[in-house]
Amino acid sequence: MKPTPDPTELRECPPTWKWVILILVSLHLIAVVAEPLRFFSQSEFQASPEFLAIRRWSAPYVEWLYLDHGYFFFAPNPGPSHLVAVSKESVQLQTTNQVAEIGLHLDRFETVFPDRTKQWPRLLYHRYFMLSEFYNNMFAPDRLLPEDMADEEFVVRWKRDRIRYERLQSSLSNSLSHSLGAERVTLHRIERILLTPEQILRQAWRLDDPRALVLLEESPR
Amino acid sequence: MTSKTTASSLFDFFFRPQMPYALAAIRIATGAMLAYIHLIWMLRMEAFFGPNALLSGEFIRGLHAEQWKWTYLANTESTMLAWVHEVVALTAGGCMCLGLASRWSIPIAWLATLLTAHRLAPFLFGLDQIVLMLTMYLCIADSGSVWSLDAHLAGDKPPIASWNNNLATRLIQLHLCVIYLFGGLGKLRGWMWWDGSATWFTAASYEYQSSSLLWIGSVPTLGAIATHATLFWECSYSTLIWNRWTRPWMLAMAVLVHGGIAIFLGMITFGVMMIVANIAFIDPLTVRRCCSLGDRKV
Repeated sequence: MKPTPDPTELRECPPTWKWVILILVSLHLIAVVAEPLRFFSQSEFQASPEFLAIRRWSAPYVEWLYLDHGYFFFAPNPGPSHLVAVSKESVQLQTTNQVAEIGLHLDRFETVFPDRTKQWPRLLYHRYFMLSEFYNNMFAPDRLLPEDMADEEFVVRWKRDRIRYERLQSSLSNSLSHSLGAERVTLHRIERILLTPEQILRQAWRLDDPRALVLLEESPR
Repeated sequence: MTSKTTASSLFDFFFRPQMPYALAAIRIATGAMLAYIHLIWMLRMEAFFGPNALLSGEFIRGLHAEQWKWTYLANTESTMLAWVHEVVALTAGGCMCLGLASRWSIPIAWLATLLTAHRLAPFLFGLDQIVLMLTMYLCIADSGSVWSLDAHLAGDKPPIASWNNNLATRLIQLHLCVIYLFGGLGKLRGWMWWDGSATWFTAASYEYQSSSLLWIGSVPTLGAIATHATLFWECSYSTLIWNRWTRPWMLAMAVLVHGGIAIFLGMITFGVMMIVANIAFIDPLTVRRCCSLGDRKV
């Protein structure tokens, strides 16, 4: 795009500033790509060392200016949604077989978020939706399988993640028990699976069909 | 090309003086959105801030312990202080929209929103990323010199074409290219974007859906075309947007994709702000002409 020429008055950049500003702009642009490059270059084997170094070096700038995004919108694939259901006591939940047959009914819980009937306008609903996704992303199981215990590095990472998840759980529980007037509440993670055209258009499932809800376990099987 | 001509091209690219009309349009929309964002936080202050917040200050401090995301809002449990902060942020966003004391209101709106973002990080999504990005770059421009109360109070003098307007525009443009490029590259890794089913699976998400797009399931070819058009548009945006022949097509596609997100996927705020960000690629005088056409119709 050709910048527009000025019909009347021009304010030019002082020539001596131009180089200084250009250097600052270059550094800023490196910071802008630092997080997506690190994010993309990460595999189970390693994170690419040069991108990792750039990201580490630019961390204060990138993180405080809120530039640390991978820009993975609906990528690599659109995934299932996650909900958080809250019950005042440990409700007797259905077995996996029952869920497969009749579905998981959300009205048995004290509250569920996100819930478009309770959180309005849409932006408020979306805030709760992001929180439920965050809660699910932070999940770390309450124990490890014996075969996983052999990997020391894995165990250390799991312990750290589990502490963080428990802190999140406790923060949410305290707040929700206060707002629900309960002594204590239990949080349940629920996944709404992706429905195929076959299920919706031919088998007449509704988008909010209880059969699409899966109660996620806290322990590995 | 000699190093001298390379330098002069670079200087021309970043520092050639530019009129502020496109940035003023972005300022008005971004300011209004910032005010709206803070209004939404204020609807549930007890849930977002204070001693009984969903995410306590202690949890946020722990979450950011190894990160440079300091905010004083994570170190206080005072709901009153959070109220003051949010009222200041909302007022600054409103002033930014109206173009009142723009030199101050834009940086204040940006800083206040950034501090809120660090306190409430787990609640955020693409909307917050794009709004903070635009506000950050508007801080260095003279976007308040037209279509603003500032300009009106100063007697509506003709605006000055300034180098910092161009610099801010270039930074928005380049940042937008980075967002689309990595957004597209991320999708290239997913099989649903290749087999053409991604549009169906985003449309069939109960949590996202605001208007039904399920009819697309009975026309699978159309769903696949929409999926592939989105994928190829996003991947090629960062190159084709710079060519004057392909730019209108890229912008039209941006309106279609983000308009679709706004209408069908319930993210009207995000969809609108992405379209607003694309105004940075429209010539400022064209933006002024479009707006004066609107005036004449009124």
